Amino acid sequence: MKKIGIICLALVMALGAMGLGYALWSEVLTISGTVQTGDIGAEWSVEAYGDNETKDVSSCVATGNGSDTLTVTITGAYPCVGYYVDWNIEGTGSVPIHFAAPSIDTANMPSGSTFTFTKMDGTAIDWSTVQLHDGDTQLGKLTVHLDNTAAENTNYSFSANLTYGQYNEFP
Amino acid sequence: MKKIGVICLALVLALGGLGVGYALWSDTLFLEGTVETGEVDWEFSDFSIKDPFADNETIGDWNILPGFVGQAYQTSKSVGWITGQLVDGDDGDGDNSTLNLTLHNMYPCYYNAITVYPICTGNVPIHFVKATISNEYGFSYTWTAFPYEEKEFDITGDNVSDIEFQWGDSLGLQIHKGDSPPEISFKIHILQAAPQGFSNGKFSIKMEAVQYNEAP
Repeated sequence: MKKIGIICLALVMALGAMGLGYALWSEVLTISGTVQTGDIGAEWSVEAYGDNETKDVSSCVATGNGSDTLTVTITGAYPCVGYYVDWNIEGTGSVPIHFAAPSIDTANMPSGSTFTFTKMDGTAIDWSTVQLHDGDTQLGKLTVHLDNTAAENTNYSFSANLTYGQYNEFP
Repeated sequence: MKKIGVICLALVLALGGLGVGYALWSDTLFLEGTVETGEVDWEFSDFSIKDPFADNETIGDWNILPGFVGQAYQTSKSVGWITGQLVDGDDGDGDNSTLNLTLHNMYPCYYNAITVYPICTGNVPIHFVKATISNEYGFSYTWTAFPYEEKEFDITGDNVSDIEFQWGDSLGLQIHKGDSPPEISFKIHILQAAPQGFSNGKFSIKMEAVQYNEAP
C-alpha cells in the first residue's frame, strides 16, 4: 500500500514538472522569403544579306530571326564573289551577358577562301568588351569569299559558335 | 435530599461554564489576491536591406564567393534586388511579427544582407534563443549558438542547393520593453546551381524569444 502511494506521489511530481516545462513563455517572429531567379538569353536577327556579283547567278540567304541559330545558305557560288550577312544579336534575358571569343570553324571551306566575322565597318570585334543587357544589341557582318581553290559542284560548310554567360561570372 | 441539591448545583456550574465558552468574542480576517500575468511579446520595428535597388545602374549589385568566403564585392550593374514588407502574423495581434521578403531577378553569385530591428512589446524581458530556417522540401536547421554554420539548401525541388544563408552573431540578446532595437542580421548568397526563370522558391526563418529567466 505504501509503495502505491510513493508511485502516485512520483507521478504527480513528474506531471507537475512537465507542466512547468510547457509553461515556458515564448514568442516567434517570422521572416518568409520568396526567391525569383532571372535568366540569360540572346537571339539573332538578320538585318541584310546578299553578294557583290554583277550578274544574278548565285545567292546568299540568311534565316534565324528570333532564334539562337543563324543559318546562312549560299547557292550557286563561284570564285571571286563576296557574300555577306549583316547580323544583329539582341540580349533577351533579365541578367546581362558577357561573350567568350567565338569559335569559328572553316575547316570544311576551300583553302583559299576567306571568312570574316566583324563589326559593320570590317574591324574586329573585341568580344571581351561586349555586354548586352535586355534589349541591347550588337551589330556585325559576316563575309565569305571563295577563290580559285573552290571546286565546282561541291558543298562546303562553316560555323561560328558564340558562348555567353551571366555578366558577373563569365568568361 | 442533600444529594439532589449537590447535583443541581454542579449542573448549574457546568452550564455556567458552557455559557462562558459560547460567549467568547471572535472575528475573522480575510486575504484576497489578484494575479495579473505579464506578457512575452516582440515585433519587428524596422528592417534594412543592403541592396534594395532595382534597375539602378548607379548602385551595383553585390557578389561573394560560395561559402561566404572573403569579402563581398560590388559589381557595376544593378540586376537583382530584394524587397521586404512587415505584416502582422497569424496571431492577428497587430504586431509586425512577419517580414515578407521577395528576392527579385536572382542569379548565381548574387549576395545581399538583411538586418531586422526587433523591439520587446511585452512587459517581461525576453531572450532571443534560436532561429530556425526551413523550406517546403523538408529542410530545417536551427541556429542556437555561436559559431553559426553557413547553411545551403534547395528551394526549387531538384535536390540541388540553390541558396545559402549565414546567420549573424545575435543569439542570446536580451531585450527589455523600451530598449533601443538591436540589429539582427543574416546574409544570402545565390549558388551556381540556381535555375533560370524560377519564380517561387520559398524559405522561412522563425526567430524565437523566451522569457528572460528561463532561457537555456
